[in-house]
Amino acid sequence: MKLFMGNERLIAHVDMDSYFATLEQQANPTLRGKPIVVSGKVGSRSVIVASSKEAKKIGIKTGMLPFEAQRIFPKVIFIEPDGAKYEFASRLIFKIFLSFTDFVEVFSIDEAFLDLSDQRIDLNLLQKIGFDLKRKIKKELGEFVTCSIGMAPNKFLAKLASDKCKPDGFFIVNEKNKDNLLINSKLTDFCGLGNGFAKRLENLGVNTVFELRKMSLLDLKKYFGSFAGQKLHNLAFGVDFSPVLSHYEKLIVKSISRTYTLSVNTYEKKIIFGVVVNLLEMALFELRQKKLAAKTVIVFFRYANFTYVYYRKTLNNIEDKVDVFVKISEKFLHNLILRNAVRLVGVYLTNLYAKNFQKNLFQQENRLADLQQAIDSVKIKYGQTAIKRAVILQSEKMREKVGGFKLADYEKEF
Amino acid sequence: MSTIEKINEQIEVLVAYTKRKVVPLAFSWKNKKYSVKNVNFVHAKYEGRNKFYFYSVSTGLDYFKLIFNTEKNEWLLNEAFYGQ
Repeated sequence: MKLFMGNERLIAHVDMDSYFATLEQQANPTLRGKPIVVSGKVGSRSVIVASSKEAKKIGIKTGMLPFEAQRIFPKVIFIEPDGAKYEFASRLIFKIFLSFTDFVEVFSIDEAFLDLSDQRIDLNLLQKIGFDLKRKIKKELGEFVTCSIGMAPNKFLAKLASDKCKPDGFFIVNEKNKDNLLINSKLTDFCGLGNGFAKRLENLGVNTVFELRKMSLLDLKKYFGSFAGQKLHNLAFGVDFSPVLSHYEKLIVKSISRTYTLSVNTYEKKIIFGVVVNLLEMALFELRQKKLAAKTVIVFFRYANFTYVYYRKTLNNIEDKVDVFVKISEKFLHNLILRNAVRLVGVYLTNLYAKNFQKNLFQQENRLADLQQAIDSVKIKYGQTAIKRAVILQSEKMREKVGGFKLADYEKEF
Repeated sequence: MSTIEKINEQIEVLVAYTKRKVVPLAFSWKNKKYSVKNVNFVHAKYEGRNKFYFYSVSTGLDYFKLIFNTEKNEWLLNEAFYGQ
């Protein structure tokens, strides 16, 4: 049977199953077969970042608060996140991917696209590749760790396929099953089509893929704009020309961010400012390690009622020193109206450029740069928390590593 | 409901060096000897320049996490989870 027609590509999407939770069950076999979640404990302010397959089956989902999970199943086991374990495992997995092809696009910590187009193969070999991938992942990470693989002529279909065959699945999309796969999907199953778009389509009477297909391209462009309209039309028919951005091409970092949920909601600007400075220190440290500098900074505050406000500033020149961004943030804090207590703070650096290392003409600037370099050396040797600004001491004690924004949530806003 | 018990006590560990890997075979804690039946997962991380190795091991029904500090050359029993 012909898989694909003509010169179509061959893209694999590999998605680890219930990744963080599965790794915890791999490490600790007493957790296997039980509903477990990776999150803070009940009463903590963190959300569930991963649910095991068993937990998902009974309706405990990522993003829920711990008390909601316990309400569904009182005996659910809470495991604190172990970021070092997950990052280490991801590095092993991506090495495996790179052994199959150089064209690997890391989509998130637990999924990637592989472009196998240069390996013209028949169905038997395709299946062998899929099973080889699964076998190698088990060998490196452990017998309990599984992944789901979708193979298709483009990224969109490959990801849809891997989503549909979870857990531990393998789905090869061909001309015979492609339409079935699309028509039987919900619109929100489509990667890139979030609730916002789905709602707008619903307002137009479009609730299914079938109905989306019936809308003309002209109408889609009229209601959603030329770019989005074309994209919606393409998705309805499983068309996607986006390339797999290889490991090497994706080294271009577009943004760096850090967020932190305060242990207690607060109106105290001193505490909030301390957290902002701490997050800036972390984000800018990473920026400098990547030999980058930023032109735009966004500082984001989420209130206790989950509304938010953000402040944005774009500089005339690129910068990488903490002092510059701290001064900007001071003004943000001054303007911040605390209509509610603050629950979460985030910083987001974007408009990034490779830094040129020419010495500045001004001695003071050079002294500041040298001081920054000395501080970085201490942090590299002794850890992030080895040296801190005094203002941070007035604020909450934060752990050494915190996460960043999930960009899809806020990208459009910023 | 079983929970993970945080311990963080120094322990003695018997290891084997095999094919460039360090494999813990047994450890003693509070005057009791534990034989490692399975090494379920190993990962590493840096804190500053110091590298730590984390061994998630089973001794039958129970699970332990052992940490090896390469700078101090010492082992720590980080956590335990007792299977039912």
